[in-house]
Amino acid sequence: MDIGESHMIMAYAAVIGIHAIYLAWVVVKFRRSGKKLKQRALP
Amino acid sequence: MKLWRWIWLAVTLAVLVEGFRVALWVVPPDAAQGQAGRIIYYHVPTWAAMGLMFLTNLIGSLVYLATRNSNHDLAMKADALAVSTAEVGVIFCLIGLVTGSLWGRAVWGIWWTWDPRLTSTLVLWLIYVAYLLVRRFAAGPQMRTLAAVMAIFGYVDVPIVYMSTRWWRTQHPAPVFGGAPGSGMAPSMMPAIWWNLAGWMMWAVFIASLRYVAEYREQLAEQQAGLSALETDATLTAEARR
Repeated sequence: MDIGESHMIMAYAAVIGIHAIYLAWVVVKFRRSGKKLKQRALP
Repeated sequence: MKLWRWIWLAVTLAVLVEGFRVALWVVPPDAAQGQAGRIIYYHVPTWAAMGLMFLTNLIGSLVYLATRNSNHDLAMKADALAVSTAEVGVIFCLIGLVTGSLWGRAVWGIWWTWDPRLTSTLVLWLIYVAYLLVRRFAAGPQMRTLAAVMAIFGYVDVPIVYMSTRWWRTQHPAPVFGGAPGSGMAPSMMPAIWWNLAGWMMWAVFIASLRYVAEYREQLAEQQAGLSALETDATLTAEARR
């Protein structure tokens, strides 16, 4: 494997990895915000 | 999560998978750069998605400033849109810098150089990181107004980044799309650009919409907490007077 191929694979892995980590964080935030809003809405 | 969001996610993932397949196995390797040239199929769509996010952030910030004293609900929504798109834009900008650095190491032999395109892009990333830090750590009623003004000034760097390879010819290559006569890509390589451009734009919209909902809910919860505190204060004051 030459440097071009290895760096191309690293770039694709970085794109998918960073998006996966950010997605997980957004999903956690999305779920927490729903719970928070429900708690506040309770009398 | 609402049904339309699931459908959008399914279509987005299908487009991204097709983009990945076409970029890796259908289009030929670049004649000059070999396999490293395939980084362009993720690098260019990333910048396009970032541009869309920062433009939406600018619009959200302008709407917030225009409506904050006249239409509170619209201003809250615009503010939530601004912060969510800024965050997604920062993620895309980071990915663009990382893929560009990996590409530079493979083709130029260096990870980084203080070329106008690279430097202006790093400054852009830092501006929006600063915007998010202001949102996170500044307190008080003026925080949102301050952040919106900052976003408007921050956006000035976006056209500078876009034009940098036209104004200054240094290390970064001249624009492939919309550049000088004769620039452009071989037609056999364009499908990988189109699929990934569509896929990453759709992904940006999806993730920003999730983040927007989370942000708006938090703002509503904060507002409700503030109203409850006011009600409690009013009750205690009334009881104390009796």
